[in-house]
Amino acid sequence: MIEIKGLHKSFGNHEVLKGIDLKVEKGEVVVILGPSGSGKTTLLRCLNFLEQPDDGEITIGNTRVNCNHVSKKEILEIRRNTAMVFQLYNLFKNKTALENIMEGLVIARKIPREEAEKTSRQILAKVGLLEKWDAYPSQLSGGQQQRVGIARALALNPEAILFDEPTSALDPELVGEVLGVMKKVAREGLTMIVVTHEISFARDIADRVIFIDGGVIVEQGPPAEILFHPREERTKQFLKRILPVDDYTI
Amino acid sequence: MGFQFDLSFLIFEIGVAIKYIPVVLLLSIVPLIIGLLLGIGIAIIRLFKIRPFDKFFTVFVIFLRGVPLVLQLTILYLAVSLSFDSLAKTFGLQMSSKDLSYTLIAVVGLSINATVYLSEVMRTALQSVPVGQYEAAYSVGMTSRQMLWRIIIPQALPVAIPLIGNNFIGLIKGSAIASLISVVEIINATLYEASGNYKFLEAYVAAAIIYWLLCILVERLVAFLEYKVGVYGKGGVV
Amino acid sequence: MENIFLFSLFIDSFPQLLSRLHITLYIVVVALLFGLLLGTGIAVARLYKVPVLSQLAAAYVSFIRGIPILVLLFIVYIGVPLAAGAFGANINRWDTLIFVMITYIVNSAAFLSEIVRSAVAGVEKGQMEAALSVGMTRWQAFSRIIAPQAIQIAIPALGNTVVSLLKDTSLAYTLGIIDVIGIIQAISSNTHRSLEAYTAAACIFFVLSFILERFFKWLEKKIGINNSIPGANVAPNNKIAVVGR
Repeated sequence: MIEIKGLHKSFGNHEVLKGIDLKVEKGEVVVILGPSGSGKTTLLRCLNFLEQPDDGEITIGNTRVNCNHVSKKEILEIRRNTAMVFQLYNLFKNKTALENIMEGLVIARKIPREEAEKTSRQILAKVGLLEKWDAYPSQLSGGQQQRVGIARALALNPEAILFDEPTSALDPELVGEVLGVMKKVAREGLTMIVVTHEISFARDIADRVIFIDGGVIVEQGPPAEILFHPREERTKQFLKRILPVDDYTI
Repeated sequence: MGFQFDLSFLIFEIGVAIKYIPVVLLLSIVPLIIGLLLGIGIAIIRLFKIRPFDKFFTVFVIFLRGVPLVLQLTILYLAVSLSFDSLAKTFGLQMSSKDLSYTLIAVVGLSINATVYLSEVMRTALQSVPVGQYEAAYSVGMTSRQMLWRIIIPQALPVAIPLIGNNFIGLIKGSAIASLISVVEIINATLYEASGNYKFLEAYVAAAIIYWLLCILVERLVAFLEYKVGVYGKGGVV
Repeated sequence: MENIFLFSLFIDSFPQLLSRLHITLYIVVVALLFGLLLGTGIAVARLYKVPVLSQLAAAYVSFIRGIPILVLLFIVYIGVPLAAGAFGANINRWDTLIFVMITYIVNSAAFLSEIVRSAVAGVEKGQMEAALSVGMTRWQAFSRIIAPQAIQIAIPALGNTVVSLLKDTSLAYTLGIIDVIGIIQAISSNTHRSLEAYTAAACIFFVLSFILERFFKWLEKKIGINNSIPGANVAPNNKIAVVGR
């Protein structure tokens, strides 16, 4: 469904991704963990070409591109097959909540306005914000903005939704409401690739956890395995730092 | 026919223009300093609503802000000359307005202009400091004077410096308008030298080059000051 | 006191000055529109780092912003016909107003290009990323998301520039344009008194500036950045604030 082969990316002299091979099945929820600088966010952003990979092959749904010679048309196609939820929400500041959700549908997917509006209202209700349909982002709390961001991604009905540290910028008491929506989305069978620090999400919802460090996948597997019985030393070191001591067993 | 432009005369005129840079500096630096001092005073009076002056200065600033510099200088010049002559006649003095220094009038006029704009700059800069800073200062028991000097003005400075720099550049260019009330500065000097050979374009281009260089210098200076004062800003206020 | 300022003369000047107001407004409107066009083009050249053009644009902006309008007026008035003459065109008989227009267009374009540049750069980077990730093309993203927000950001600085432009037109008389100020020479030639007329002109400019400022304040409220985040400080756009004289 999504397949990555030999992905390389450098920023100047610094090689951030040193050859990533990854396969994500339809409906899978994959959580990517790793220390800062490990390349996890870069990996995600390469998937929809917000960063231009230096080398490798990316397949999303029916579209396969070679990162060395990827055309603008191919990039557009990939972007129309995926959707991203950003750490800083990035809602369109000059549009209302409803318009934010509709924007991609009407403009990028060329869906007629009435249909788009209907779909958008439904999805806005699904994330629990229907009554805020005409609010501008500046009038919403962080948690509300992020839920609209998730709604915007959902409405596009993508092959996969990419989550870039969706709760990192939120005040602690707002994290719960966003995680709740993400869990709901996961249960509906959407393919999700999530970069996050929220171990509870990885533990409860992920089908697979991937640990990245130094630009390579160190190990991957079911959450119970990776989080509580990691094999690699680097994984253990990382988890020791971020897991509450009780959860960690050898 | 060809575009006739006398390069050697241009270079000569540039030399002439350079000789009058001190005049330009006089016409811009003095008003700048006066404007800063009086401007901060007016800003404080208006912000802290010090009666009975604040209303007067508010009207003063709002009115003069809308009047072009050339009119300000012309009106000042005429008013001073006419009053001078009238006074001389009344008291039978031998002086006439022709004895007045045009340059002095220009400096006064530019100073008033600078005061008006700089008071607005100061107001903006002072208002950009979060209210919480004032509150905190009061709550630890500082007097208004201490608060302004130690807390507020140091935080207002990084905001003010680029604006003051813009104003300084505006004053340098404004000094050119003094040429219209017969002050001997760069434009009049270069034109005078060209009155014989009618090469006025070279005269104006020479003047332009010198003004441009002066403005670039000021921009560099301001950038340097911004860097030096910006140390506070890195602390992550806001 | 009467030999300094005659109030009746002051009042009487108004009709005569106002009869030339249309020239002043004409210059402002033309300079603003064409200056915005030219300025946006310059800003685009610099934003997209078009080779050669962007360096030329930077030099142009730096030069024009660094010289007094008085000097620019005469350089255009003398220089443009001379340059045209080198190409064989004789434009010496063109109306002076055209050269005045060219001057103010060239001048305002330089300042406006900086405003456009700064406004577009002031839109959060994340907005473009979000637009692209939703599948919009760069052009769609720019026209629907970036440009509207840039316009919102630009309004205060734009207002400043328009008011400055209005005041700058006060120098057009030096080329012989009979506008609000230019007519004062004609009025005062027989009375030998001009202070009253100049003061009347000052009042007219003040009223016009005031109206323009109010308009832009209203515009800012209406479509400006809706900053309803409590306690936030919007740092003044200080690289752009232009102080016209």
